[in-house]
Amino acid sequence: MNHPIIKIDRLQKDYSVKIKQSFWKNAFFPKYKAISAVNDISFYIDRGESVALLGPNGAGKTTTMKMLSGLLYPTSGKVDVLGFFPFDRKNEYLKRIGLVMGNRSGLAWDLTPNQNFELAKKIYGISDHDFLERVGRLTEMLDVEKFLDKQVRKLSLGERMKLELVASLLHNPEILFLDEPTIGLDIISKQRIRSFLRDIQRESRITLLLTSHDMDDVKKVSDRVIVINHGQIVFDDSMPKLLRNYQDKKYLTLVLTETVTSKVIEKFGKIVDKKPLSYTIEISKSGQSKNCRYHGKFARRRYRHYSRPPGRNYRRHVHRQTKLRGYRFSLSILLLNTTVTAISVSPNHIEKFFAPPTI
Amino acid sequence: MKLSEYRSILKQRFEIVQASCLFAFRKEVAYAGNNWAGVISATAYTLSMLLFVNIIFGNTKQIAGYSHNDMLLYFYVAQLTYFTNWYLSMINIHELTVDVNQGHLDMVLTKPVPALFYLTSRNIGGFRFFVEAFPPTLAIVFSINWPALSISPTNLVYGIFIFIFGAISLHVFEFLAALPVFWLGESENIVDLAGFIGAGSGIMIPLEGFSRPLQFALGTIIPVLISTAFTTSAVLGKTSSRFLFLWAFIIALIAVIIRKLAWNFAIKNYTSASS
Repeated sequence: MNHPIIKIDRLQKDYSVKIKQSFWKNAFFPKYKAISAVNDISFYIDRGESVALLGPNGAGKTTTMKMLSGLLYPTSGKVDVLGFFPFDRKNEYLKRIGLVMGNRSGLAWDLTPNQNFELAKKIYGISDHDFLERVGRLTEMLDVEKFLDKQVRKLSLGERMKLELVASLLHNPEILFLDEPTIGLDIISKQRIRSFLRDIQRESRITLLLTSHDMDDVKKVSDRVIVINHGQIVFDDSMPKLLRNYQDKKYLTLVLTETVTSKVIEKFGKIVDKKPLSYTIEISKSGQSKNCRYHGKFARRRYRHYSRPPGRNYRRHVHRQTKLRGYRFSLSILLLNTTVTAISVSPNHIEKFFAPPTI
Repeated sequence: MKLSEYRSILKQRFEIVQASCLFAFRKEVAYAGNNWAGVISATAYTLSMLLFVNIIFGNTKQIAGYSHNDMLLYFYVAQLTYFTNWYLSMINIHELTVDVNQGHLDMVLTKPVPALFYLTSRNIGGFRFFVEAFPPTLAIVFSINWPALSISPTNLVYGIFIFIFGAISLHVFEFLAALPVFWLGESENIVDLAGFIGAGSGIMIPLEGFSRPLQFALGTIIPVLISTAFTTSAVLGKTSSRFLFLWAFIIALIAVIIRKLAWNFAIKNYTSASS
């Protein structure tokens, strides 16, 4: 029988956000409203599991991870990690977890990785024997032995991230929290880190909790996926099931400059999210050819050499093109093999946008 | 709490300070070429202040009951206050505000160390303290006519303790000025203001130069007079050293308690910069 080592029950985290007012009102009588970053979520994670938290930017993944690692105090709900309330930040708890953040550095920039590791050795009370064995083994696995005596600020992002991973594993933690560990890395470094994490997880039965926007990270490193959106869990199951459920659908978010009735939008797909000036529609596979013709044709014309969806270059190009045509393209991200696109369109142009292109 | 637990806490803290000192030393010597500028600037400031004191006392015998020689001792203690405050306290406080602002505090808070202690002792600039403080203070030491000063051993011991309590109080005053960063996202200027009041205004005028209400305000509410003005006054026996010792001790004790309470409150409101 499995024993959960992470237990979350009805967890909530609200942030207080300043309401926009006039300059003087803002300066002397500021008003705030509460915004839920994490809204009533519950899940359990067993020892040795590798779990990914997925979701768009601002969904609440990192906030959840920060509450689990004791950085943020929850507004309400229960959190139990390894039998501790994380925010108490007891030494016995902190010695059993590790944290790696893709866009934060735990290593001092002015020193070498070796000097940083020595400080960690003192802080975590690692014996000489274990320290030498772990540094040797981990650096060999990641092929970074040659960078141990180079100043951290002179390392490339990939080299630094690998050494951050080594630093986070020196004390042999039971749980490793990874917040976008491969962000900004080249494909080779990403692959190396993914296979390293998988090997480490299988070898030492460490529990991994990962957040990432990169689907390959999730596929290669995690067995279970929890999808969070608007602070709530919308999916919690295995990776293959997630792909089966969602890969056929595309989600398109339209950010409008003026209000439009739902009826106009419904013609293009099922409305799954509605805000005063934005709609997110779900477009089934059959509807994609009709509704996304503009994108499809555009992509085929400009990027015939791409065998897969062309990613950033394509989006940048669409951005430029749509701008020229009077549309303002705001954001496009790839999630779960389905495209979530935020596009700002004027209501008069909405029909035209979905219509076949004239180019 | 048992005595053995106290001992283990003390041992852990000693080890943290030891490791932090080595860590800070390595950082300081990583940019050896940069350190000499600090030495030159500190020496230039000291020499200009010595000149200023000489000019002031060219026309008068005493200021606020302090002779030229007493004033040089006052200036010597003031310099020690400045260097102690900067290298033991201000560097860590500045680093704290940057860490909270940029979210690097996350990486510190997940380390198994007492966070408040670690954050306020992780960068003790011992090497730079020695290198930068030694030449300028030596210049003042040689300017003072030591045999002409009437310093009793008891007053000297009291003075040393008052100086330590003053340094603690000043540190807490500056530390509290840094905490708005947890709500505002930035507090560098507030820290600088506190630093200016502390290491600037607090070390310019002897204790006897202030009126009673100001002595109380600047020795209690904004405790910037203790480490320099109280110490010099106690060492020279101008005010009862025992009285000043007691005053400084109570203020330092209250300051340490306030620091802990304020930290607990701030950390509970920590929102961590978005990543």
